[in-house]
Amino acid sequence: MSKHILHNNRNGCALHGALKVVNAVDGFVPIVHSSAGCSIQSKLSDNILSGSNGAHYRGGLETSATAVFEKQIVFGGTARLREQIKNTVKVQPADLYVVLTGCAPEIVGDDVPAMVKEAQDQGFPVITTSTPGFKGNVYKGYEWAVKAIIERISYPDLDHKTQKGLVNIWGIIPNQDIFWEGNLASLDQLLASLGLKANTLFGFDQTKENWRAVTAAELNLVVSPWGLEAARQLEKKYGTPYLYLGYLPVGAPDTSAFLKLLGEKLSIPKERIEAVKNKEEKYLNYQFQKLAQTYISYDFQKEIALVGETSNVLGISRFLHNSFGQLLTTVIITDNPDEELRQQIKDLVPTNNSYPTEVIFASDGKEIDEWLLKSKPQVILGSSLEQIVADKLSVPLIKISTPVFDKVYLNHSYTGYTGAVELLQDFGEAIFKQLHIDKK
Amino acid sequence: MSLLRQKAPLIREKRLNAIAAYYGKAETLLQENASEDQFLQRVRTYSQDAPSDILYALSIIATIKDAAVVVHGGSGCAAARLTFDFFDENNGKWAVTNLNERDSIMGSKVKLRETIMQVYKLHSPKIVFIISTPIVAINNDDIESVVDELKEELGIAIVPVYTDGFRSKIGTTGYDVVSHSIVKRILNTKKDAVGEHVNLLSVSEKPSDLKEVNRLLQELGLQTNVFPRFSSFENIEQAKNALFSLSINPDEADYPGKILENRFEIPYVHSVLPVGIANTSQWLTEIAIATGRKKEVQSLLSREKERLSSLLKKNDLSKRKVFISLTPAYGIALYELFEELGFEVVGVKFTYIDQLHLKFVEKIKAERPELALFIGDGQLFEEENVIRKIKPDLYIGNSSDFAVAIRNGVSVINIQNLSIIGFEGVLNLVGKIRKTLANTSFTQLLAQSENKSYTNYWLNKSTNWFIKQEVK
Repeated sequence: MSKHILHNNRNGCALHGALKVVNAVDGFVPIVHSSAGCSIQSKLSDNILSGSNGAHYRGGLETSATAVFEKQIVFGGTARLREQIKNTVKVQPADLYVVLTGCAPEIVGDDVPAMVKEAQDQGFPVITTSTPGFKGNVYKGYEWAVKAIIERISYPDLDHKTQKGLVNIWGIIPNQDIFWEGNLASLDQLLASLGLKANTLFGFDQTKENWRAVTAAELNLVVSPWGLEAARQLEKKYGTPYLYLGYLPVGAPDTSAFLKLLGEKLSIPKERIEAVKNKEEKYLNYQFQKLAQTYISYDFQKEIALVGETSNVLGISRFLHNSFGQLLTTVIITDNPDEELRQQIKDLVPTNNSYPTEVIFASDGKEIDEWLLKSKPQVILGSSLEQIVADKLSVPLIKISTPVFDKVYLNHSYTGYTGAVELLQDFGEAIFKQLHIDKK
Repeated sequence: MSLLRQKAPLIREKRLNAIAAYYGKAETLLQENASEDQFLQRVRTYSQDAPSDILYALSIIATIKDAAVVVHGGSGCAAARLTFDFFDENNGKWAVTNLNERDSIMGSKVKLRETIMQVYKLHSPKIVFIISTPIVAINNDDIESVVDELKEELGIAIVPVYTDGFRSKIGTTGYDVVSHSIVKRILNTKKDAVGEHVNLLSVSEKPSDLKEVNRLLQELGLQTNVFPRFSSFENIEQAKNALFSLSINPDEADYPGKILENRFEIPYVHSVLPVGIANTSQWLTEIAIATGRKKEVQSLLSREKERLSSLLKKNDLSKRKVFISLTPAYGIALYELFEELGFEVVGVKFTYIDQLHLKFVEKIKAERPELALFIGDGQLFEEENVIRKIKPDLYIGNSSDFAVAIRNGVSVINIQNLSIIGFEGVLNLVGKIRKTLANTSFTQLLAQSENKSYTNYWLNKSTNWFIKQEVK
């Protein structure tokens, strides 16, 4: 069987990943060099499929686009791109213009860098990165766009001074991680509790200035495989150390361990970390106590399957097993991480001698459905695409990954101590909903 | 047969002289049309993205029952497919060949074949649609030989849909490509019976639209067979045996109507879009005359109008300024309806226009010579430029193109999920207008945020600054 075919595909292409990056920074404007419709497809999937998360007015119909037609495909589209760049800088105010390429001009072989160089020579802040869908998926698009922006915005600030306590956060992909802005806010809060400053780079109030400050950070924090490239790049160029967590910590042990690691890297007094840990763990335990009666009465202990990207799935599965008494049957990772990281990811999935867990890397809907049907979990944590299987098995579905059709997430997150409380609430709601369905 | 000879239909630019870029007086367009015998093609030297034929094709095929879809291209070309998965049992019945760099050079026949086989085994469809995309179209990848092979092997209909994302600037062409492919590939035999039904040509209608249309047509005693949107394999097969084909949206039904007439001599009965009391009455009357149901229509119309007049009490909506931004059929019908309701129409933007809309252009020239005709799909930078100047009270649009209105504090009615078809539609629309204008707090709040989408340079320019006549 070909490993390429994707049934009921959940992930967009590289161009879409790059658009998610550029559209999530205030003052960055994409210029798409492709045939018509590429950014509309991306926008539609942002708006409707990531919990109504993408309704920000930029993107989609307001994306500067050459929308090349037959003539420009036959005779080349560089002249059209030159014209589009020249006029975009007049029409759309921006601190940075990012030319992103789609499949058609890439196949034809338009000399995009030459056009961008021309605009740069005229003093315009224009960069480009090659993002045709046939070269990679949405995650690669994030990596490539981030790399290009860092090279342009952050590198020139060579006289940067390290800003004490500043931490860049890498690996959360706007509108691909359905909880992206909530997750960034949770990390921001956690870091603030230690007196650190998170440089979240995407979302609310994030501008060129934040990207400029990238080189001043004391540490690069990497919470998914997709931020590793940026962290390595910055380490090589500036010697900035990085902390590769690889996932988002949920609940007490992981969050506390995470804070401890941060403390070691950034020489934060142990007492300060202990104080936060004690206070937050006490609070979380208090919430657990409140839930205990219901947990036992309604049998909250279930066999669980998870489907989603590395960052959320690892953190959530670790919390569910290590703190919440759940049994993991299947963990399906959908973001297609590089081969060399896979063993490490597998090792992070909690193991239980009486209940073996299958860890699978798959983004093909057919394969995912087959695994779920085979493992017959009692609760699924996944995307709306798992609804069909959840219905077949008559089990509740909790949404943790894209696409999500029926939720609004403005600031939702399972990350950290407080995130765990949100997860407990959503877990409970799902169990009760199912009880009502089963009664009927 | 001529229309169906090619693998894809003529693009709307060539078949109907559709144009997708214009801003200016109706008079200029008409002069041009008189002297050049056509509307001239214009291009934008700054443009924003617009939906392609692929998106339109995906949206309609997602509703066809008994079908599965193979998107033949990169993974992004199918990204929006999931957004059409709200409907029904079709959810999840699709796959993308997910072409990579090697495929883009070496071709992708094997992958296409394998994907069709998998989709077939998994979903047992009666039809597999193959949506062609830019990578495949540019490389001229061989789809036909795979289709021929598998048609035999699997004994089901395998229908290539030759969209490409770059031939036409009119997304609606994608609808034409779907109808073309279905009639050419599935309805390739002669009529096998004389049915009692009429084809109801549905292309972009919502289920709620069809409910109202069917209610009215049933009152006339007509038995409908829906085609192609929401059709089943049975509906598709029966299309060739129909007595008539009826339009709902005359722009979108134009192509399926004509090819069914062309191949099976089924009279294509087309009228105005049934939106508004006058238009719905005209639509019903013209259908009744064509199908010999004059008596039935008279009593139906008097019943419906009586019901409406009691529900539509004297309205309090007059003198408000409205901006219309829609596809041509909807835009034209709503222009008339808003005038009927006493609104002042201060702007009309259509996604495109073509020779089917000549009468409307003439009407604007005669009645509102100063009103600018604004032609463009998306292109919100031009909307921002206009709306800031004319400051309407109300904006009526479809899907997600209302961002400009909202951030400028203009209340929005989005008909994406609001059925305004037929007599029920008038009630729905008037009810929605009342609600919208009764509490504008959310819009007002949104308009308080800083709006830095466009430069002053642009906002002070004339709206048609970037629209130029195409150099041949």
